[in-house]
Amino acid sequence: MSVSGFFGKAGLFFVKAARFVWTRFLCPVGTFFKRLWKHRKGRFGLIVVAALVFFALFAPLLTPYDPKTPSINEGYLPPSWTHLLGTDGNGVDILAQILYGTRVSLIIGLTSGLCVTLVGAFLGIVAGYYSKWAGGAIMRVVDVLLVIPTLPLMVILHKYVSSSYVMMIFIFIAFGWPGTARIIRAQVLSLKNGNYIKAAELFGAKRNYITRRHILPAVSHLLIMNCALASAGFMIAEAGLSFIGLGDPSAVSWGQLLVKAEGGAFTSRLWAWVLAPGAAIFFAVIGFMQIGYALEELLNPKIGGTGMTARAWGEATDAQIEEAEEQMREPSPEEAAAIREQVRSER
Amino acid sequence: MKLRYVLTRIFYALIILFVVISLNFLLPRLIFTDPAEPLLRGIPEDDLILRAAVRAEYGLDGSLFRQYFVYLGKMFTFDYGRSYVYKAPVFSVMFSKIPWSMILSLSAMLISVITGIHVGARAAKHRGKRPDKVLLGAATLTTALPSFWIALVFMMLLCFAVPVFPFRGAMTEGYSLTFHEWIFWIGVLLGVVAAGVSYYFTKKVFLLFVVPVGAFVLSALIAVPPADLADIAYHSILPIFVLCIGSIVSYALMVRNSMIAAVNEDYVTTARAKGLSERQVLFGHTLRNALLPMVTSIGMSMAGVFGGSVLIEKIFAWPGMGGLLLEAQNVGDFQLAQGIMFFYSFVTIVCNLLTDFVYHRLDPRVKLA
Repeated sequence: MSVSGFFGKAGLFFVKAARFVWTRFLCPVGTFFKRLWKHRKGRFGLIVVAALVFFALFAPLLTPYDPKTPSINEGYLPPSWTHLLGTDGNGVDILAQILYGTRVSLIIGLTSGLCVTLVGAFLGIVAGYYSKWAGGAIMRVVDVLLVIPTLPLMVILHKYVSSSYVMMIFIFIAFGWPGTARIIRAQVLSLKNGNYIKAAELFGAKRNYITRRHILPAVSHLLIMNCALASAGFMIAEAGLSFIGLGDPSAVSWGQLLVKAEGGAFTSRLWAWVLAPGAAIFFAVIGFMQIGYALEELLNPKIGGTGMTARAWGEATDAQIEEAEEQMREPSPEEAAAIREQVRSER
Repeated sequence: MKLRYVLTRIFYALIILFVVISLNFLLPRLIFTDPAEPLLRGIPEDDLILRAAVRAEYGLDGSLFRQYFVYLGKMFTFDYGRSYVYKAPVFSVMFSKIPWSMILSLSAMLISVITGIHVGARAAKHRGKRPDKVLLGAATLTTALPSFWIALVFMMLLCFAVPVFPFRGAMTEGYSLTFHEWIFWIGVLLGVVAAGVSYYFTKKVFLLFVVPVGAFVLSALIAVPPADLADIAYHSILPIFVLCIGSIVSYALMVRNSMIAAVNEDYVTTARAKGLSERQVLFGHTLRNALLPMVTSIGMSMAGVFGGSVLIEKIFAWPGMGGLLLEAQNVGDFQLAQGIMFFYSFVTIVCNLLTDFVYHRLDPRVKLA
């Protein structure tokens, strides 16, 4: 193999890889965000979540204080210009704790929300479309998991397992997926008898193909909405569990801030200490929920006005429609010859 | 209702119960090398006889297999072991705490169901107008705010900023001395029996809800000495209020949605065609059918009525089941924690089963699965 040939192939590979990444990943993601931005709720959610990510990433630049170093002389300070929200009992700035706490909330909310959705979608589709036997087994597990009271179980587990956030995420996933799996399975069961899936089966389409091509797109709005709402729910759950002492007491999180507030804010009358973490949780949750609702409205074919067809035609810009028509147009004889030539050379 | 349906459901419920018991048995033994270790901590290493006696007392001797069967037998004879904090059987510890949880959660549920139905019906009647918008706004607020934070804010406002309400406990002095649990439990038991009997003779489903609740209120009133009644009521106002906020909104939302869905049904058109007044159509026909989903929801939350709310009970230092669970966790009383977990699962399973039966009785369209 010649060197130039090698580079040529490598070059072709890079071009192909770049094209693949652009068309399959960047373009859809770009249009996705564009469409979300045009939606009123979606824009609100995007702004809030972007702000949260910004706070989480650049917390050290936004506040001069460290959220863990105590300074004994500055405990229980009321809000002032040096400490905008005051300080807690150890003299740690509360605003700094809220900014750094964004990290914990985002990581816990997003990872457990994503994992719950993925696991739930996988098991739900398997239970609904693949194997009757496995489906029955999965649904029995779901029945049991939905009955087991989570909170006492977490209390019991917490006694024996180290109280880290990784453990908390694992438990969220273990007890979060049954709900998602049940919803997805119900949807898949009703889709399975749809005429277009029957038709595809008659044409000899494989199960994996039908899942990829028909079932996943049809449940995508449920999945995305579920992911957004689950993330929001797990953020609240993290705060609640931290509050009853099941979190990591050494971590900086909104829940831990409220635990400390219960101990000291009331008697020292530092209202900002109680109000600020709640407001932070509120905004984070609202942001995720609004994104979820916006996506539901954009992707769900059954909600009128902005369904699948409307997405293709009604809401598309003139340029997009022209592009689509361009792609569907019959090729002229010269173009057809060129395409044939190209196909032949690729062989 | 077919007998076969009932029996299958009970069979499934028993299987789930069995799985829960097995999990409950296995978890501490899987995670923890020796669950007897915290029990034996204070006993010297060489006192083998005492150690063996303690192990036998808590069912922790012999092979895992043998322990499992001992455990199963104990579960079915209501022997949940001994709490080593309270130095009493877990069963009796739990049963002295449940009434306190019920005082909070049952009153909160009563208030929120009644208010929720009214608010929801009102919102559905004025759909898209002000009552509806207020309800939807409140729904966004209550789902996005953690319930315990709402409790903290109200505590801050009404116990500290303007000190109107007490901020901790169920009574000003010690509570457990003056509450006659046995009177309470006999009353509740009589209420349940009375509900079954009256339902059997009259076939009126609402009796299944009204009679036990009435019995609960009456027996709670009798079990508490009259002098302490006002004190307990005063202490419970704020927790009940906080518990109500979230559940009123969720019940109201449910009623609103199912009423809006029911407006287009044929029976509503029929009722209008008969010439009934709008009020009769709304409350007699639409609401009546729209309440069906409420039955499921109430049944599901019945389990919470016995278990109480851990967060609210912690914030207000209420002496109920939620507080007991946290106490068991803090001191490492694993028999107590296991007992509570078994109790929660048992109540949840039984409530789900009963809800299914009642729902089927109310709505015969539901398929027998």
